[in-house]
Amino acid sequence: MAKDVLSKEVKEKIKEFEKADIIVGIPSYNNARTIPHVVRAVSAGLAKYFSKYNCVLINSDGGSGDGTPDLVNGTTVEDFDTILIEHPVYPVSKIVTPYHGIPGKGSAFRTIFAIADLLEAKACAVVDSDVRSISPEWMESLLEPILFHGFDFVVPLYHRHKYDGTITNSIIYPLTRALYGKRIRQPIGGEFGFSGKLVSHFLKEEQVYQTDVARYGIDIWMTTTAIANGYNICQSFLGAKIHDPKDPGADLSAMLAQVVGSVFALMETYYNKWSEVSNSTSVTEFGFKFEVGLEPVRVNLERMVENFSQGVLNLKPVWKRFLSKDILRELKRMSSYNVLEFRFPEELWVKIIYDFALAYHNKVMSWEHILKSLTPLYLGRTASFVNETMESSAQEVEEKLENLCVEFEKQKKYLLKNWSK
Amino acid sequence: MLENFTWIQLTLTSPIVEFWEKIAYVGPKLLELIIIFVLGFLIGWLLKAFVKAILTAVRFDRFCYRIGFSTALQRASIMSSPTEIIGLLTYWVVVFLFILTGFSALKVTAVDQMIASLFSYLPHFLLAVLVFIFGYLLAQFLSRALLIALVNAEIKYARFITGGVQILIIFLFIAMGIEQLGIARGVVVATFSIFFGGVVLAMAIAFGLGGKDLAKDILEKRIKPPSETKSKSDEISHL
Repeated sequence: MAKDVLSKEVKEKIKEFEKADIIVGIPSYNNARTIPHVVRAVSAGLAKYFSKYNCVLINSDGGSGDGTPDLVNGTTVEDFDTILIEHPVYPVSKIVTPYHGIPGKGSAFRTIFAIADLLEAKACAVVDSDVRSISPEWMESLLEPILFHGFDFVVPLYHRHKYDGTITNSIIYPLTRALYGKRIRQPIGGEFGFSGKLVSHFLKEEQVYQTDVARYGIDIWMTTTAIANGYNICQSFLGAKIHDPKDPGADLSAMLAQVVGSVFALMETYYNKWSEVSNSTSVTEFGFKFEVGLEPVRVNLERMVENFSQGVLNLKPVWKRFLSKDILRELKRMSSYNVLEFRFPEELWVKIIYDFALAYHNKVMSWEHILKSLTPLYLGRTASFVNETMESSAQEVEEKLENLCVEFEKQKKYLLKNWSK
Repeated sequence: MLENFTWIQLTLTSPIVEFWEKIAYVGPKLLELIIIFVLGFLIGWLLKAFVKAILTAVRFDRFCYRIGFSTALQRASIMSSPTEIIGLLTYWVVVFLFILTGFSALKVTAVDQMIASLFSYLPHFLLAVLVFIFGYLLAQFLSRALLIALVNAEIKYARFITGGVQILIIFLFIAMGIEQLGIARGVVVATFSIFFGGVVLAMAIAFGLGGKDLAKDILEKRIKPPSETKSKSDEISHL
């Protein structure tokens, strides 16, 4: 079953290794610029904090044309003195393999899960190959709660630029929190730690790897699966997250549809769980929090507002199938705002997200059309968020997000009332 | 005298006998016709109820709403639900078939010929109706997908382009349907070919002249590796 996704060479390598205590997976696709640093940080982290353990680093590559796999094979930590390691250092074993299946992060993870399962790993971690701020300490933060504190799933907690991760901030975090009642700040962070037990669970659900979970939907699928199935979850502070933009050529609407579509699909699967939840609680946190400097992010506000207005002008025939007349009227009114005055009220945004979830549930039209028609509204909400927080500190931005989360929790009754079983 | 009597008897009774003979011949056939008609209405009504029950059970109306068929009906000012429409169609198709069967029971050569030609034309007619319906639904689906894609790609006049594509698809299926019906085949095919070919040529010229930079950008984005393409001015990271 799990073996089916692995090549003959990988299976032979697994036989050679027999077992591993720790697996660290790095999915990649054309990440030659950043992956050597990631490999060095992971290798150093494993050497520094888990030298007594048998560790394997896996690179699951999507057919990079820029030599990413060669760079993974060729990268080593030259000088361990610089990271203050005195004990004997054993090189981290590596498996570099292309993945099979639908091209995407989820398929890459599936290969990592399959190898981890066959090597009977006690703890696993995955890190994105585009992170520039990764340090060896990330390994300790992601793996220690699994190995020494009995947790099954470690979610990252970072300091990010206020305009970084806008899908997380405006939809995924508040919606997941309102639905499942766990305040997991970065449910689609990209870096995770998980137990061998959870790996087996991830592999059991074979059919999901034929859906958007095989693409960008994997992160939210892992987090939701862990929450809904009652696994022990914690958050671990990693510091700053600075990364290359996610595949600059990637289509935003496809990415948004994959992530949001995965959340909506999971709502169907776990209706019995989320319908019982009425408030949210925090989860255990590890790590010492500290302030970090973040790189500025350039935002093209005009373009976002323009896209929103174009959407309002053109997509009315699509939206009128599931958005009320009042909402459509309000959107039309908003489209006349100028760029700096542009505001998208929280209440309206939450109502719209719930209406999209209901439309998906009631199958009012092709799910792809529903999800892709969300893009202009999302850009409108992002533009509004940028306008509202232009002068805000990180603390003030978090307070603003907290208000949004409360609004999602408040309006959950509306969602439940209109959700026909 | 006797001769006169025989002549009168023959003159008077023969038409009556003939009339009764005809009645004896047509009567049972008429009765058969009436029975078949009544049976047709009865079976049609039963089948209508059966079809409606099945469609309601499988939530056919919801499906039609999802694929946009209900909206299409509303646009055409048809306020009945798709289930009701299909029930009614079933009823009248059954009644129509029984009426034809009833008439064929009369064994009139002209009626028989007319029925035979009607039966041979019926598959073409049904196929044409199916082609129209399928074409309409496909046009709706594709134009909606295109509209969303164009808006997300920030292309102006998205609705105008989508409207044009929708008309083209509908026109293509109308041409196919009319061809099935066998009405002015050559004219329809020629008209469509000229119209469609003209539109495609016009679009190609317009794109070639007005959108060569856009075409260059698209090709660059598709063919060249990511590092070689122009970086976007927006650095926002959504995930």
